[in-house]
Amino acid sequence: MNENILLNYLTLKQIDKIKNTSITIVGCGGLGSNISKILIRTGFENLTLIDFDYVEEKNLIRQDYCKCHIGMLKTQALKENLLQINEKSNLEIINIKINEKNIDILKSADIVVEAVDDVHIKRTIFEFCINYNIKIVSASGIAGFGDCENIKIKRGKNFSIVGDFKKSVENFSPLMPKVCAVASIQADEVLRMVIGDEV
Amino acid sequence: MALLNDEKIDFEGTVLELLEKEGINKENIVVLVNSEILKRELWSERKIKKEDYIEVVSFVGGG
Repeated sequence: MNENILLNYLTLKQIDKIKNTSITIVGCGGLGSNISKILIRTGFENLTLIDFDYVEEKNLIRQDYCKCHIGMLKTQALKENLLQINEKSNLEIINIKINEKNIDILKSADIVVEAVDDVHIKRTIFEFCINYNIKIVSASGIAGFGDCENIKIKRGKNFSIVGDFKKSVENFSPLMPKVCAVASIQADEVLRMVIGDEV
Repeated sequence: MALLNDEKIDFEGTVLELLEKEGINKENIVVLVNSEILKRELWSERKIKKEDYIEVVSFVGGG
């Protein structure tokens, strides 16, 4: 991707800030695969992608993978996709399931994007980041359809949480439109954290 | 009067006591007091003041 294109829309200072920010995306499923694509297109170049899972055919209904990726590690498939958009991206992949024992690897991030399925891990990641003053953009309530007007953003110092805060995947189907809406807002919240003070 | 998720409450006590009185499941929530996170370990210490705006935000599964 030619960064001169972004100069039509952002200042050099803004682009430098974006390029120099390290983002760690935890979970490369419906949210994470779409968020990382948006961030790369917006000029972010330093991403760490964390996931333990492999691409399956069932993922294709909302995750940013293709048939050719089935059987691959999601991190590896996503890295391939993102390099197609910007070959200069610096993409680190870590193939683990985040838990209380290995969560310290998030400390190196400027911003953590929480994009995991499991509600307990969501809370663990969120509280870890708050405790260590790491900026975090989290998601809660991405399932269902036809009610995107209920998506809210809760913001405070160092955090944003996006979603309807109600509809879990245990009770509602996670379909691409709303999942992608939340993913887009999460990416926008990242952008806000990085260059929002200049708008 | 303090507010809990936009509803007025007349309550004297700590945040933890309020959560218990309201029967809120404490497992996967975050508590914001005046738009800032109140860490879990402080729930039992932080007394609710008249002008407080308390929000209970729930994490639900899906990613």
